[in-house]
Amino acid sequence: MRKYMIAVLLIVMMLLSTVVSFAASDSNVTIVNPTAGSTVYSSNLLVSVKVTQPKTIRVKVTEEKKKINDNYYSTTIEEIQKAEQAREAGKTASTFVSIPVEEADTYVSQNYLNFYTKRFEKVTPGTYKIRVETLLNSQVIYSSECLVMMKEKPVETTAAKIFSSTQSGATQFLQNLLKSIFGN
Amino acid sequence: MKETIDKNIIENIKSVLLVVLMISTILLLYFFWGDISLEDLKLSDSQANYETMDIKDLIVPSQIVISLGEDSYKLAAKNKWSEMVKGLNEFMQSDTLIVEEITKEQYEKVMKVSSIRAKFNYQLSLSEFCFAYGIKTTPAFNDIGTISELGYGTISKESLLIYDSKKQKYYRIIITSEAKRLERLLTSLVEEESPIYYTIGKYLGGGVTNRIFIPITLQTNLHDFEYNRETYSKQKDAVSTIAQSYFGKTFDFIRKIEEGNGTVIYMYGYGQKVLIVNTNGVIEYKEESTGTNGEAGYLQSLKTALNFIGTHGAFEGSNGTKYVPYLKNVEINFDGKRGYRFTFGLELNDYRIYYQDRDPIIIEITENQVTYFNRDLSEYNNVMVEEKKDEYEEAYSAINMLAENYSYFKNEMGMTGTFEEIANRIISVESGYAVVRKKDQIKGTAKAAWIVGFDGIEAYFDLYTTDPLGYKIIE
Repeated sequence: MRKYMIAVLLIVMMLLSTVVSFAASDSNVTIVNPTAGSTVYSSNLLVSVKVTQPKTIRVKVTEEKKKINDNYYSTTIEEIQKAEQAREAGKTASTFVSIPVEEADTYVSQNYLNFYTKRFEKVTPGTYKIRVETLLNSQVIYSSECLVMMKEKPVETTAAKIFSSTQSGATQFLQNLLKSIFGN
Repeated sequence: MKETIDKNIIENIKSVLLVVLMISTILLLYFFWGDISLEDLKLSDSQANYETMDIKDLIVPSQIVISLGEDSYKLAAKNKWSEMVKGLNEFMQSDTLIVEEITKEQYEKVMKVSSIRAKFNYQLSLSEFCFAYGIKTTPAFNDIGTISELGYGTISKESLLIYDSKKQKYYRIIITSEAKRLERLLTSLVEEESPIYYTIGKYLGGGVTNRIFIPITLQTNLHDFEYNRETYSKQKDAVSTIAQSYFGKTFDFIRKIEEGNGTVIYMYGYGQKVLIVNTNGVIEYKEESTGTNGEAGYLQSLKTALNFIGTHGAFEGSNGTKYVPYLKNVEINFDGKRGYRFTFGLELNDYRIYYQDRDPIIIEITENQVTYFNRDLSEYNNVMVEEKKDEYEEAYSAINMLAENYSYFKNEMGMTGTFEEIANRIISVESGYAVVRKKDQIKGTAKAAWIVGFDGIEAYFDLYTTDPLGYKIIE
């Protein structure tokens, strides 16, 4: 009887460890770009994932929206993080939905160093989640994700701001004028 | 009376004879002392049938980079260069051109967002560049050394930016009038459909700051083709014809030496001029500097080089194989000599050919005189090149080509450090043809390849399988 108890205990422990690993991220799979929590001023998003062991990964990019009644609204990274903290503390929090940008990609790495790279085009401003899952026999065994804020390109800095510290145009003009008269 | 007339006629004839004799003496002295062959006075057939390349066709950038912002780029097709030159020309028509030195940060701020820039991989002064293209210059341009990059960004529409990699300095030329051509060109190139490139640092993140860019995906019509080196040495008549183009038809004062391995050497005098036709098809010509031609500038020396190459086979294989040459490198005052060493590379179907052994054409000009010339051209299989010209395939991912060859970099090429550290040392990644061969190999296959450049080393990987093909140490 005692032996059976130990066996059951071991099985339960093994199952529990699997549950833990579901939540854990894969140390051999790293989202290199974009940087978590960063803001990208562009309408295109480059996703780069480093894989350091032969593995199969699935990459999903979703736009995060806040759900109020039946309407979806734009949100921010801070808002999502605050809601997560509130949920962990057992408090009520806003509901968010993930809308896929494209169908998830499955990538098979057969080497000890590979990169999954993809450019997502025409990405509208908003908050996006990049989720990378490690698959084993079509089952997700690890996952990691990062949030990124996409914004429109800001109005370009003016030349005046960039070149303000250099010599004034008038002084330079005079110098050049003298050079053109007297040579170098 | 008659006697006097006869005497006068005789005196006149004597005078004429004296003049003729004197002229003959001067001419003979000129030929013998001046080391001039009578052959030099008439144009040989080969000289009559060649066209010398225009310098402008060689002073071209290695890349025209379009910056889209967020570290993403496009590369413009090579034929867009002529439009960029027109834009530069319009820019320089401004009544006032002000030159000022700027900082690297200022330069990068303008180039980082919507911009176009031409990158050169050899040294050329701005004044010489303008002269070659007939673009207006001002004395203020003398402040700018050589141009490694010429750029224009919409953030500062009144500025033309210049980077001098030799002095590590940055400049801008400010205009006061309006120039729209470069802006229009930039807009059209941004909208054009072409592969997107990101910097290596963007793909790798964490501490990798390398700003060399590589494509995410690349559709290409690069395909392997077979080649044969020119094999003159096997054909006695051909060798003789080649030698005639260097020494004239009569071979006056020329010694011919045939070595046991088949190499033929022609020598003028005591080695003032030497021509070596090697069994592997490589031709070498050396000439003692006379030191009497005076100093020649960059463009004049380049012109002399092109004239010489034009009279000695140009950039064509002996079976009519045609290549498009480009100026690969220029060494000024090389090996302690005053002059220029020009290295020419070759292109086929708009792709550059990279040779594991030696570059195909090297010519040295000392005081406007050709003192060294090396020609190593191959005849390619034209059918193989033409039949697949329109077949496009996707190349192996550039970032994974680097990643999967990490162990090759370390174990075969002797590089040290993590993958990220090695990636940080890359100075170029390009698709093209790689000719990997031994010194005396006379035929082989030019492979479609990724060419990865580091400081002093160049490695080649199959474009479609990423298998390593070889590497070379650049001296």
